[in-house]
Amino acid sequence: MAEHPNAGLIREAISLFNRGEWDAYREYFTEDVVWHVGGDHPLSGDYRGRDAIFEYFEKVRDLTGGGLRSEPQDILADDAHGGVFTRVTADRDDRHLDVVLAQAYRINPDGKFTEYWALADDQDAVNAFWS
Amino acid sequence: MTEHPNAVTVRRCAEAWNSGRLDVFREYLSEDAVMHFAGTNAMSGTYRGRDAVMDALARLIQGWGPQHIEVEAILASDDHVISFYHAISEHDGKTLDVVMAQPMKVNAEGKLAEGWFIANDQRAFDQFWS
Repeated sequence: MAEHPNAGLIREAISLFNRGEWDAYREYFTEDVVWHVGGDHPLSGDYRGRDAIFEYFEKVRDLTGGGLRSEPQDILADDAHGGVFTRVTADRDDRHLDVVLAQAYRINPDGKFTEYWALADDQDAVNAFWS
Repeated sequence: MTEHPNAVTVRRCAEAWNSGRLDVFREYLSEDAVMHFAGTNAMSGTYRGRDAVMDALARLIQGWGPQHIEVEAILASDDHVISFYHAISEHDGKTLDVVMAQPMKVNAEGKLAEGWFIANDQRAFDQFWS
């Protein structure tokens, strides 16, 4: 079965994120996108608007020396939604992160992300990594 | 296109929830099922094992009812499901309508093995239920 266009969209977006191509990555978001980061750590919470979200990405990049990687294992999509289970690895000083994140997206008819949720299989490990 | 069996499972669970038939969940949960509830409310935390998850669901439906869910979308592959739904709660004359995203892992027997609940307005949800 051919991949759904929104699955391709998520795959491309993650690839741009991994390469740190922020200008191209920005094009995948609406201006008023809302981003929900689960867990209980200093980066958890809701980010409203593309500018706020990119400040968050820059913080993530700075804290991990640009080394955070996301490797999708399974991408699901329909015309208005997407989901990805992705292995996320990163290093920060002497801490190492290796978890699977479940990410859910709402996608508008123009193929842009309007809302996003992220949750980890091992939330305690994520909380410890960012705290 | 025929709906993926894992999507059918989740749709049946949603119907069972709305009709208060919690026993239906028992047959769809793996014995070692784990459920994570986000936020800082009376349900927040991780529940491990089918019995613990069933207890949590019973507490949720009894203590927090009447609650109604309206499925917006269900995405499924052989190993995973993600459902998006409105959770509409009424409590002390107030109504709360939040969108929940619920990713789940499905095991080789087609049973729900791990799931996460998170609301799009977790703060409103926490305040409503605290």
